[in-house]
Amino acid sequence: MLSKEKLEEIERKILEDLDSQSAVVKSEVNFFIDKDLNLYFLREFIKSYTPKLLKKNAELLLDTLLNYLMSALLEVVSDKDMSVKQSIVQADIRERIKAWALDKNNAFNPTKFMLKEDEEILEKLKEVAPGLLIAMGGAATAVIVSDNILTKLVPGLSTLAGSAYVIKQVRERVQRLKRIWKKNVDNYLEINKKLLHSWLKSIIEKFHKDISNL
Amino acid sequence: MMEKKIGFHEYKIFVTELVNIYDSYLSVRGDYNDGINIVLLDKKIKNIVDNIFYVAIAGEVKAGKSTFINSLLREEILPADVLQATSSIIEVFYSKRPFLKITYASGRVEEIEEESKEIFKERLKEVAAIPDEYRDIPTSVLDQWILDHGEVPEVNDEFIHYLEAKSNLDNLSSLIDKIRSYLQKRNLDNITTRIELGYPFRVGLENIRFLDMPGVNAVGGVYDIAFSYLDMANAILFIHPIKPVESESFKNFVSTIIPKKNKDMVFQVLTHAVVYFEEKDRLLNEARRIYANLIPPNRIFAVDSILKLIHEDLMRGKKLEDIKRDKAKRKWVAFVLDLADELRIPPEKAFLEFSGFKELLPALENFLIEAPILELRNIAQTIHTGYEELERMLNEHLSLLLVRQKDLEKFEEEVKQRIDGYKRLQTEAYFILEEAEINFKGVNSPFERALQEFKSKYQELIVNSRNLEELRKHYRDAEDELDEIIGKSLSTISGFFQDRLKVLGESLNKEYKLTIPKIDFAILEESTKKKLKEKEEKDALGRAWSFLLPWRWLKLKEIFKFKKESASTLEKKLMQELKGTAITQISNVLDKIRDEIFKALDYYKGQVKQMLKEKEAQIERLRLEIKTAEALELEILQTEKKLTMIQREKERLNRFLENLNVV
Repeated sequence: MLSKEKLEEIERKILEDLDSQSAVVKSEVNFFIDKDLNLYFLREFIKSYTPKLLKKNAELLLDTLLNYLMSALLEVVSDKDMSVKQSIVQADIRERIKAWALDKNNAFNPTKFMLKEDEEILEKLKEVAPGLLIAMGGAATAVIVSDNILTKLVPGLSTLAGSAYVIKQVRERVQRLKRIWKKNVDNYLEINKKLLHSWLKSIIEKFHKDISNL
Repeated sequence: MMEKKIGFHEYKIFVTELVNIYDSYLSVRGDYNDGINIVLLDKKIKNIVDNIFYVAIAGEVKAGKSTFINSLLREEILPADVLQATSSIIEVFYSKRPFLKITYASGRVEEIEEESKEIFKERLKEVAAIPDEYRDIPTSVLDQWILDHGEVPEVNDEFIHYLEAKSNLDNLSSLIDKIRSYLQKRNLDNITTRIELGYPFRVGLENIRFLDMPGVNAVGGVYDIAFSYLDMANAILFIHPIKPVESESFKNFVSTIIPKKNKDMVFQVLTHAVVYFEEKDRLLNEARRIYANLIPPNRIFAVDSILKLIHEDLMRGKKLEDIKRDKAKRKWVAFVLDLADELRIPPEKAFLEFSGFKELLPALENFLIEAPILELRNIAQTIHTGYEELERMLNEHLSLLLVRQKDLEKFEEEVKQRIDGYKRLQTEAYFILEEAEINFKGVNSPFERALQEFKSKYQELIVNSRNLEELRKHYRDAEDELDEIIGKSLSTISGFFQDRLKVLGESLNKEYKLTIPKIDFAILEESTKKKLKEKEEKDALGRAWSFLLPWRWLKLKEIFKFKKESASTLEKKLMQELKGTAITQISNVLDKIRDEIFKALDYYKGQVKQMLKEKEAQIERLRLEIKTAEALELEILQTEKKLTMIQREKERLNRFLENLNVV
């Protein structure tokens, strides 16, 4: 019932949506990575939040795609006689396709998200006062580090110059880690974007096949 | 918009009348489905009948809050001139049986019954006030610590630093002995968590519950326990002495403490007006100018509580000579009598006249009943809609019965016409449901865009919050904004279904004489909103909000181990933890809200499908039912009788609405 051109147009539209949604996820996750948040929290948050966001987006994109397809279908049958319209009503296409797309055999499942772990730096940070984290973000010039923490970090170092050196080292290491996290997120989103694309394409095909049989 | 100001008395008359109207409606309606959701309407009626108005009285320490409440209550029952402890919010309300119920942090409940107001006053003084000798130490922070940890803290330098940071007080180390002495006397068994005072006050206060809040601090902050009370208030009266008129605490209270949704409920009450009698008008105008961007000028009043209390004494028949024996009143009796003489006002009227309560009380009453009056109007209009629908259904039914009585063949033709109409209804309704999906779901839907914008905005605000107050404010604003998004989305969905079904109904009626039953979308929308709000509070936002309460977050294991650190370090660590939690919760809430809105959409769709089924069954019944001529005649008579009753009830309802409209 839907022409090849129409289906291609729908695929183009949903791809644009996929692009913009992926960009939103990326910028949202990067926003958090750039902020002065507890690094433990940040790691756990990104690990769970990114795939969750992706899964939610997949559901939204499915609805969007069904909207495009159903709009096109309803437009085609709008001037058809009552029996054609009745067959569409009876078939309940949207629900049928949605159930198929979310069935465990066909559903989109994000790949496992791997984030670079650096327990050593996290352990060190856990002991360092949060003022240091501000310094790590490059926002503060003065930092607060309690004596016992310094002792744990660099035994033997007692001068202020020494502690400033340690702070600089830790800061650079955290920033390096954050850069790696951003790359991890990037790669993850790229891989899943491709998977999402083929999933959405399979839905278009299924829809086309089902309505052709009506 | 209200034109005539009415008080509680007139409001109660309206409520009684509406309850009668509702009872008649129920009996006329019987089992007919007129599209009105009776369960929900019944709940609304019950809420109106049981309505309690919460009036929170806040203000700085020693601003005269208790005297002010006493003057409202017309009884000197709350102890004045004492420093109220932070955790002691006193709820005062009308009760036939006088009682004072005090709940302590340990769970112990103390109840004093059937005693005189002097006994209550004395007990309140003992439990709710901070003893004079401890006025210079942060007793509230100390009590809070005990509440948080369930034990008395060890008082050392670290703890003193913590106290100084928390209370904004300096040099507390010089008061270390006093702090220790205070702590020795405090435990969970003598820190109150709730104080309720029920008393047979004079008529007019049956539906009001006054909440006597502890004094706000210098920067307008309130302690966390007060938030839940401020949230439930229908009006918040901020008490402040008339001079100096400028109040930083009030500004902060309105701009950062009160959530956005409650800002429209704030009144400013400038007290001790008679002390500055000559300057009163100037000061009042100045206040109205200074706070113009915070609250409207008609919600700022200048009052004098002592004068109102003297007036109440006089009303009780007390002689002026006796009133003068009260030190606090003596000076003002003489002053007002002089003034009354000068201005030729009868002495018995002068005290009320100069007290300022004659302006404040009607304004407050009117404000409190404004929303319930609107609700009365909505209920009356819903019943009206129900009657109109009933009338339409019965008329359609009657016309078919009359056709059947006259010409069976024509009757069958008409039924067939309706069956064809039903088929079209089924198809068109499916198209409407599809259109709803297209409009309200997917990445490009206005609802999804609103959620995305909301998320970006509040993620940014929360992550960039500089302190707990700011974080808390953003979080509360987020709650309010989410409510707006929910409200707007639901009303768009309701509006969509309503419009589409109306157009479809008109076309089917014209072509097939088929009427489609009404669906009460307004009431559906309201109940969905309420359900969502509960979900939002119980499931997600509420949980996160309680996480922001200090006594909760201090208990967190991860944070607890840092408690020996300096106050500023502790605050920074806490902020990071709290931001993390707030971000996670906001994201969880959005997922839940999205799911719930979609569920609501499905529910609406379900209602349309249900309506289709009902219509199908109705047509089928009509076609198959075999009736004798006598039965047919009886049914025609009964239907006509019902239509007359509806007409009569509609007229009564119209009169009620007319009276309500002039209010």
